Amino acid sequence: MHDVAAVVVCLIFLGPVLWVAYSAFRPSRDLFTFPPNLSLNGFSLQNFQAVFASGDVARYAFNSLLVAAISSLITIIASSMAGFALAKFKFPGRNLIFMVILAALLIPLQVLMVPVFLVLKTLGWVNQLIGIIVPPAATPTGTFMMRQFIRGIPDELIEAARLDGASDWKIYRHIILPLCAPMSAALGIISFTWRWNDYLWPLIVVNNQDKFTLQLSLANLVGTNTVEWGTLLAYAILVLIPVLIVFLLFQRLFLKGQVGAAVKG
Amino acid sequence: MNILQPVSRANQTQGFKVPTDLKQIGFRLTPYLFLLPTLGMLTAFSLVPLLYGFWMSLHNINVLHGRSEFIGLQNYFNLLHDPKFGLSLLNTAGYTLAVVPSIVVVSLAIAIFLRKSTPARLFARVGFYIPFVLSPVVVATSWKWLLNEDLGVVDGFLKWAGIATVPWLTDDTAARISVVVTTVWNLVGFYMLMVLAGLSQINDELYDAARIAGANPWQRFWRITLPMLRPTLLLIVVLATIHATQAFETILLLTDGGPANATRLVVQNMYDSAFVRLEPGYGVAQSILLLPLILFIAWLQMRLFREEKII
Repeated sequence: MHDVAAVVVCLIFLGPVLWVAYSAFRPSRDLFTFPPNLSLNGFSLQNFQAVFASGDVARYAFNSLLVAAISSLITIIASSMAGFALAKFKFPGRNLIFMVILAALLIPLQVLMVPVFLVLKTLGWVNQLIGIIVPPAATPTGTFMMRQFIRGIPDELIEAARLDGASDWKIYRHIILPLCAPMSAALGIISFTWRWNDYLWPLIVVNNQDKFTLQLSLANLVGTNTVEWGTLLAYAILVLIPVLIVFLLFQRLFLKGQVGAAVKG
Repeated sequence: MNILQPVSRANQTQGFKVPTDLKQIGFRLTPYLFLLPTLGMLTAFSLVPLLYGFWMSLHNINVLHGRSEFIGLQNYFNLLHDPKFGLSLLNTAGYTLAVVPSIVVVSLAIAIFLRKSTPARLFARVGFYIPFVLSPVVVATSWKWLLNEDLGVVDGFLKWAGIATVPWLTDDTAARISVVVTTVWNLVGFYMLMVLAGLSQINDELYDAARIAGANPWQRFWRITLPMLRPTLLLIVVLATIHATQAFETILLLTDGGPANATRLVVQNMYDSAFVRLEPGYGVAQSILLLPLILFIAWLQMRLFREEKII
């Protein structure tokens, strides 16, 4: 009984998403009927066709994919390197550096958006995809996760390699990185969804249509009043499906509760 | 080569040669080199902007001509007399005071409801988490559609039930409520997980003992669950406060701060000053004014993380 109630309450909670999905497959003319028409003959793909007619959606999708993939890769590499240094080396200022990294990363990008924008302008990264890719790539979550994980790797492995004459870079490359693979995968998957979902950076950094991400182009359409609701809803469904699939496939990773995710992706 | 000092001294006392070969120096520099990418990004996108921000806030910057003129604290004085900024502060405070307790209560309720790990409840946990993985753009689009005054399903239902419809996004109070509800819906799954993690730490024997002593479920909740969850709930309050004070993207799309600035929050006000009205110095001055508050919250958060052994 309790179980049935749990599922029912959950479905009601998800009502907004389910309703959007349902509406996206309705022809525009009977989008607004209540109670809803649940018969199958009202089913239509015309909204999705309208999405692809609304702009260069394939290009935006490509941009989104590129941004999310490269940014996640940078996150994995930078975090695992920093995690290695913080977990396996003793050096002056280690704790201080760790605290500074955390503190600085806890300052939300929102607060610094204006000067960061001007930094990007100086670098010539405005209106470039690289301007969306790099600034969010340093995340406290990544540094936490990697440091924690690498701490668990036995020191003997590193010592043995060092006695064999391996350089620290080789140790990182051939011991740490392969052993970190599961953690890198987890971080990569989670950070991919964050970067895919990003809206603030594209909004500030990009003006040219050909550099739009999916999020930015959908947001732009929401802002104009000339677009049909059916199109917007179908677009929203297209934009959320990749993230939903990744989430459902790897839900365990997400449900472990990445506390850092609450603060800054 | 300050870093080498202690090593060489130690070696000398033991009668070894002072290490001069590059390998030793390389070994000492290695951790810093490994930290370079992270520290580089941090410098470029946190430290430099922070300092640059201070500088900007003291200048009147003309974006079109690229000229700037030193005006001292004028931006800050202007802020004190800016009713829009004042309103946005007030709105942010009200929004935070509504969002944070709602998140605590709702996430607690859901987590207790889903506490036992039966398949159905594990399924429901995944479901409740889904809104948290949706992008702000998707969340705003969906809710804008649901709450649409003429065509939305919420008003459609009210009409069908014979109750008066509500202009959810165009009336001051209704828009404020809508924005809070959307936020709670969006974030509560994440906090539910935190409560569930906290609940799993509570020893079942405590409940058994209370049951034997004749405590009813209500008493068990107040006397056991709530006190044992105190650290978790504290962390949730801090994180939700951070979430609420940074809120911007979803609301920008949902109401654009309207109607009549009723849902204009501080971050939007900054964005507006800098990128719409093109007064970046004035926009940054608002961030700087809020910085002590933000640093305080960040400090609080670090302390809690340490206590909870998250760091």
